[in-house]
Amino acid sequence: MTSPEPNVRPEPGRQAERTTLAWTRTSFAVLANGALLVVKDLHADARPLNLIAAGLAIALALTTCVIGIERQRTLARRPLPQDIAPRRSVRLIGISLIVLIGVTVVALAG
Amino acid sequence: MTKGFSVAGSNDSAGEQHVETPEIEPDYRFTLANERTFLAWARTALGLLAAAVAVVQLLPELPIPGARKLLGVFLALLAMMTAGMGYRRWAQIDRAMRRDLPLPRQPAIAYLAVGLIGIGLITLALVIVKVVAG
Repeated sequence: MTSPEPNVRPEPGRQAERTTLAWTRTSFAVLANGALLVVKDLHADARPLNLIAAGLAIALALTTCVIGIERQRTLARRPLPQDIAPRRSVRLIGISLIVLIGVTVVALAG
Repeated sequence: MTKGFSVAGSNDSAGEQHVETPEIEPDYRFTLANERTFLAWARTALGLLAAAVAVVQLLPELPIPGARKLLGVFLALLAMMTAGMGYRRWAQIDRAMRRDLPLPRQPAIAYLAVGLIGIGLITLALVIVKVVAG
């Protein structure tokens, strides 16, 4: 990062792009976890808790993807909105992720 | 990425930490960098979770019965801590930037490193047990 000139809001360009890609990447990481949870159950008796965890992972992956698309729209606006901190999205994903991990722990331990 | 921050002007705000600090809108690049850091934490948690699931679901049973499940649950708990830590960090940094305070310290990485070293040592112990047991 180069040192920014004061009072200059240059074009977001790559910053926005990188942020959107980070959301997409995270979405794929969630999806991979969902797939991993059921990969063994596809040719065996599906354990319900694993299916619940996988379903949760798919839902979270879709949510992350939708947030990413919304984020891209927000960051493409000119002029850029004053307050762009994604408080609600971060809280939603942060808490959902902890819930998903919790359900997975129960599924793994059971 | 957060390392690119320069906490300029924090010297004059040091004295008013306990007073109502007026919130300022930080440079959007810092906000975006903070967001990406949160997502990187989230992905680290997801990677640990994937490892946990893989250990339990895909690994053959280890020499010590129940060790596989224990290792998996330990990894998953580490994942949960990582996810929580990422969210907390995001909130802390966002607040600090808005009040023009210096960025908070980063002890979370150390916890994660200790956890990972622990897992490495457990895995090593299991390998040794397996070799000794034949």
